[in-house]
Amino acid sequence: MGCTLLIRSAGHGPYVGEPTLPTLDYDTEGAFNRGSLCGCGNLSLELCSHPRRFESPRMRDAAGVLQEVTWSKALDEIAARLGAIRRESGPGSVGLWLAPSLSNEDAERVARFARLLDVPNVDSGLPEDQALLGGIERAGVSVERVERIEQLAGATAMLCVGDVLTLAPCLAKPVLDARYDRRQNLLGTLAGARSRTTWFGKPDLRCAPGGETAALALMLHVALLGGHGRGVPWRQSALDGLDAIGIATLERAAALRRDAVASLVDALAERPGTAILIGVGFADRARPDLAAGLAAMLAAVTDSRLLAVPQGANAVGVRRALRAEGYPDRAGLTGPEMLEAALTGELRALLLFGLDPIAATPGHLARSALGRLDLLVAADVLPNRATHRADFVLPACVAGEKHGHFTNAFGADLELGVALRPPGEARTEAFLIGELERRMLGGAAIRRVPEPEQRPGALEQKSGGGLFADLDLFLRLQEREHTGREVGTHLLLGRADPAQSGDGSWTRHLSWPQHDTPRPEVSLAVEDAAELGVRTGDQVRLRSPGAEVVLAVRTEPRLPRHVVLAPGSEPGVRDLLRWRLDPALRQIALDPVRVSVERVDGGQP
Amino acid sequence: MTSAISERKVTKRIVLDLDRCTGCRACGAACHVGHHGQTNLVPGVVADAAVLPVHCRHCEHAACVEACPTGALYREEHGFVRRAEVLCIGCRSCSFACPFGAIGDEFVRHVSPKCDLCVDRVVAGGVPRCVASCTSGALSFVELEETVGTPEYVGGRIRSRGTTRRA
Ligand code: SF4
Ligand code: SF4
Repeated sequence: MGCTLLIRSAGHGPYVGEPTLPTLDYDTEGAFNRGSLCGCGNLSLELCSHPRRFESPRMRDAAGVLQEVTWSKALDEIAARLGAIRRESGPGSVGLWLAPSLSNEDAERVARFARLLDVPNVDSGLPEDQALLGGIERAGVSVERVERIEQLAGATAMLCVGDVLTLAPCLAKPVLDARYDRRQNLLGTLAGARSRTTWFGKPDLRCAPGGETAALALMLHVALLGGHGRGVPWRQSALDGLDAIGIATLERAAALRRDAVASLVDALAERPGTAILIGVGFADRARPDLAAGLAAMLAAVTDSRLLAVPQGANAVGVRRALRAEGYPDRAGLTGPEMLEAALTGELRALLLFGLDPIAATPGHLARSALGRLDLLVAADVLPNRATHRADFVLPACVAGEKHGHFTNAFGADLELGVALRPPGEARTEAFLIGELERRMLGGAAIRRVPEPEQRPGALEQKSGGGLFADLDLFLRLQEREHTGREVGTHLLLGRADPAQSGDGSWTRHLSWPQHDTPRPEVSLAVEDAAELGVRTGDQVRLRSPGAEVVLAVRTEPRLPRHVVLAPGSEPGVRDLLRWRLDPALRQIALDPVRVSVERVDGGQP
Repeated sequence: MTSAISERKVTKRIVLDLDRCTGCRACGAACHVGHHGQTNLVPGVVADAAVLPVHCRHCEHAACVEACPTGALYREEHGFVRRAEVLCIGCRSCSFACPFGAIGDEFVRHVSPKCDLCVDRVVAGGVPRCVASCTSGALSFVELEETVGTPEYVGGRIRSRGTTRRA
């Protein structure tokens, strides 16, 4: 879940009652945000008793059919095959990829297991989240984080980048408290298209679709030129980097004028208690790392607090736990790199803990990569496209069925206890890892975990020129892409969906999303819809090379022409996208995708 | 009998603050979970621009009760308008009669959806699920007398006009 049990922003677990009979309660006196629970959070209990939950281990037989087996049979086989691959091709041929919904302890356990096996390839979370959090680290600036909900509720000026209120609906109360607390309070929103967050924008800065990164660079430039941030040590180097790009270029790329952003920038810098919130920019997924780095710099220059809102429930905690164990390792591979290595045969075995790489990475590559592996093990709770391809499926537990700590977006560790028994033979990651360790290394091995070397993670770099050089390159590519638009094609942008969380691979199974948005919709500009001869409720087919999806139409009055907005978590939509590995980021960078849109005849869906 | 009802009457009602609702539909999800998969909140689509929950006002003179041919809709002891599931034949008369469009057309087990104001929680001193769950503080459960008199109140909805309201 994107917000499993209010991990992201609230401070209490909603489970009460007997362990076997939990009910959902709303703590309206709760210190964090007074009982709010997003749509997916409300449905979280469905996961516990979902009829499609995996309840016993499964192993693919010689005929390619997944058959139920005992835990000991599955674990013996996995240990033997993993051991053989490690011996034959070295520990570098094995990879582990963790979901951002795991607990901190589970992430530590998996990392220590990998270190025991000398496996360098361990990554966590959704690539976009890694880019968001990595981008802030990479900027290397010292910035205060939002650590308490009151720091949002009491803000006198705020900037929301991306659709943060859809990504984290539980932030709505404090953000709107700040918005309505006093008439002169400012809640600036920055986005390329209308969203739940931009409804509340005052000012509502509407940049070009995909122009958030340029807009943030423009705001940073305006702030520096306006004399703000005199105390930051990298002020001159940032000014030089931005001057080299040129403010006119930034204005053009953002489709915003410097005067339009100046008053908000001044308010952020001059008022007390200001904040900048950034979610994974759905309209700007190409380089969320650059946008996040620039947001961090803008926060430092304007003396604002920063809050990064990832998609994964425990993205911050799992990332932190892995880094404490020395991952991502410079010598190892990140998740998307593992997929590329699987295609070349360099990676032969992959262990997935609650993560479906096909949902987590858009496009086709993950599907082919998983098919090339000699061993694919998926520990998960519900079927997904990775479990369909796995050699072994191990039934795992959801939060509430196991004890653990989770770190919310504010950086606070929250403890969740065991409220109910897992179904059937589902077991925790602790059990699975412990048993594999025992089989592969013997019981004594746990005391011999080598300490991680104290070397900077692969994503850490010094602040300064690198970011602006990347920004310059990114803007040039973007400009080329925009000017080279083929007639009749539309720029495809992702829209956050309040009924889906994370990569949607769990929430898709819940009854509410199916009830609430039974038909995925694509937003079209009113003029584009008229040109195609379609109205809200009709169907259109979106095509990109090698993929197509049929979606219901929703016309959108203020959407720019030749841009379509489609749910970013919808598998068919993700198939339309293409990505490449960004060498600096070592995560995915999405190529802008143009799709053709055609009317599907035959009436309404 | 009458005095027993008036003693137990709950005079609070759900009010929606139009300026705060983000359209996240967490209220609908809470209702869905709390009512065995039937959502009694109707999503009101405002000119393709916003989605806001339409909730039942539990009217003093309820058109839905008048319209129901089987007597499935009735006023219960706390003053709420409820639906007796076994009597409902799913004819949609109530849905057509309600001036607010608060009864949707999502038929579950062949009965129409009808808000019961989460009577189980309210009589125990709580607030309805949608109000508790609302992510933005747009929904509140307030004394009708207090709200109706304010200039912002318009038929079950308020515009906050820059004030902070909390659930
Ligand atoms: S359903 Fe409509 S008519 Fe009936 S009590 Fe509710 S608001 Fe009034
Ligand atoms: S939960 Fe609150 S903010 Fe969300 S749709 Fe319902 S009333 Fe609006």
